Amino acid sequence: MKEKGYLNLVLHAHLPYVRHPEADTYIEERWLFEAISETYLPLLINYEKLVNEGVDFRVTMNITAPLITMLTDKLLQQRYLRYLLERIRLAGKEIKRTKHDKPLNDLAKMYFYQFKEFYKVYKRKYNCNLVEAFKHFQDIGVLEIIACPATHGFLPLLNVVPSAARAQIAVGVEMYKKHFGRQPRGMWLSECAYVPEVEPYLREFGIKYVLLETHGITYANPKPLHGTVAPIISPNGLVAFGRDMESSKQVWSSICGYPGDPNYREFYKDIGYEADWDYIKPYISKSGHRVDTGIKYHKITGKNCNKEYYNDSNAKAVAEMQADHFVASRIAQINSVAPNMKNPPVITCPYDAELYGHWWYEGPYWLYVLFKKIHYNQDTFKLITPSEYLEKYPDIQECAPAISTWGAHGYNEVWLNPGNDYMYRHLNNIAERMHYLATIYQDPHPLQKRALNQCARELLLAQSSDWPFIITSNTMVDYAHKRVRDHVGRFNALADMIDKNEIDEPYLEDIEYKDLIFPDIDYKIYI
Amino acid sequence: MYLPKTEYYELPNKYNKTIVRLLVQSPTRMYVYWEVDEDSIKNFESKNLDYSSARPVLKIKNITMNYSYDIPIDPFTTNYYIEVKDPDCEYQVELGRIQNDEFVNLYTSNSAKIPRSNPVYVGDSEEVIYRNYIKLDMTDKFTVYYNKRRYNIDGSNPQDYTNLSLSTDFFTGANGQGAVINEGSFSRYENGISSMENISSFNKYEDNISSYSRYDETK
Repeated sequence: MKEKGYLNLVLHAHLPYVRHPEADTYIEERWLFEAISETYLPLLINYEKLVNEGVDFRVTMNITAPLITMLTDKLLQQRYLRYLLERIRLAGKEIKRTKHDKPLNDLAKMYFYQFKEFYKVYKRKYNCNLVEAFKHFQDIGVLEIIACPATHGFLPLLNVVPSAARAQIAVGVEMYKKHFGRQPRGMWLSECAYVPEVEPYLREFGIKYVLLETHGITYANPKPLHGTVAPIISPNGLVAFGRDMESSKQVWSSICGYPGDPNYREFYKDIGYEADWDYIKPYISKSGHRVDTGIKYHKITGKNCNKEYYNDSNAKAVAEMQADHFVASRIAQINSVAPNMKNPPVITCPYDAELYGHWWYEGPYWLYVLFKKIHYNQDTFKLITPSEYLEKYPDIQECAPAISTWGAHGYNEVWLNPGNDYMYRHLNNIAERMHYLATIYQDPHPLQKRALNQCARELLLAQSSDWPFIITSNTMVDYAHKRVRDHVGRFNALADMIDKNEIDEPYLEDIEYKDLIFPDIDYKIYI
Repeated sequence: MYLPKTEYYELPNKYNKTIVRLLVQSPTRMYVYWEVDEDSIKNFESKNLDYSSARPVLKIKNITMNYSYDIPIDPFTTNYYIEVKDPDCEYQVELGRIQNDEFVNLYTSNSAKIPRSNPVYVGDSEEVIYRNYIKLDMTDKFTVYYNKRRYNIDGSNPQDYTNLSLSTDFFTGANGQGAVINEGSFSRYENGISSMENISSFNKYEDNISSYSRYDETK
């Protein structure tokens, strides 16, 4: 029986480029190691299981260029192996420490075997290269990987200097082609931030579709006939899929969403903060800050109460139940809208990849059982990727998407507010200067060319939307301010040297080593 | 072993180049920043005007609706947030000074479109066009006629309501909560009420990515 509708699950995997060879460890590099251990490896292991079990599934993933760069960087790969070895050692110590407390001891063993499995899978199966691992699943057809602007720049605010927004897209697509060996069909606009001015660049670099927040579709002009259960196509030919609010809410919501179940693992109780200082000292930050270790023993239990011990099988049972609920909700949703639609509905569910595993520990398992239930237990809908949907149903309603983002309040406030607005005059200034340099230096000598290319890298890194985001979220604020100052400062220093034709080669080498991203970049993209 | 060096940079205080840039924050607010260089001041004074005594203003222009108004600003400010009166319009800002009741322009900003914060409402009917996404040729075209009804968020109290278009509407974010379901001669959401029951528990949809922010390390 032919399916009546589709589910388009999209995972957005992004981390800002954080790599500090100038120090032995750097606290912010933990973001990458946690993401690998809690999200990327669990997802890959589950994809592999599903394929081996003969379950047909589809997932769309965006893996941003900074993340690709970090995942394929030798220094960070080595540091990750060291991180895993430390976890294995710590879990081993925990097994000894908790030997008289069975529930805790079982959990310590769970972590011990988990970290050991990750080490084996990461080192031996994937040879430390997770990008190749994801590519494999794309090559066999269960994963569609889409591109993203180079450093996840927030295009609506960068487009004041058009060459800046265009280059973000160009370099992002280039990076994709280099690592995945083909032309990307879709793009994840950073923060789903859409303005019509970016369409010409998307078309120029072969992007056929993007993903938008709900109101990018529901506020489109004319108002789309079917809300977010069908894509729309702009007058210039860009297809847009919009986030389905109903299904998003079931997963996302901090009030009533799945991840809040009392049986699930409590994120904020980590032995990094709980354990004895002398015991835990070798496993937290070298500067002495207590940080997450990844070993957490408690479940959410409830608000404002004593947290109880986590129970792995209870949590898995809840995940199964929630997967059933999700499937049933989608069947009801599809049955209610499908009868009157020209094409079968497609329910688009984009999420931060890190929700699955990092914030919601049971997330990857939930996806695994969800995909199995979709495959075995029903035939109302199937998983699909946007490209597949477009191939099957290429006739799309023409509506101009609305200017929108998936940030808080739906527009640009998160990235432009009194805490971070100062940076834009600097970002725009260096963007204009880059355009000017690219235009006048048509035939630079080798040292100048290196400097020009490094200017392009500094510009891209300065434009990362992570810096203003971090400032608004009030987390590693000083680090974010410093990154902006450093990249703007390096750009201006190099640009001044180019103009004076007095390039300090040791300085350039130092900067090239620190900002080792986009090795093949050509500054002429900024003409 | 190569030991990278430590660096420290300060952001420049000024760039010595006159510029005014307009950035969009939301349907209700925009941001302007600027700088005025020595040449522009000299140019101003060459017109027989006194720069320091002339009153600095931002002239806000709504290009779509063709009106403008002035906002006085402090002479030492270099940026400003402007409340937007009419969303879904193109705006532009001129920086200038007023002397002898006359506005003298120093620099005109880029133009920028302020987004809308509501669905597009059409009349009793809507033309629907389908295109092939590869060839972009039109593959279908028809008109939809509407009966319009509005329901409260809990599904109660249906009322006739004109000038609304098809499909479930919900107003997100700061504009308030509400949902409109419409029945049209083409598509019907008879079961729309049941999906409304899901929605009614959403209240104001303000949940956003920052509640699961990867950077949310607060305890």
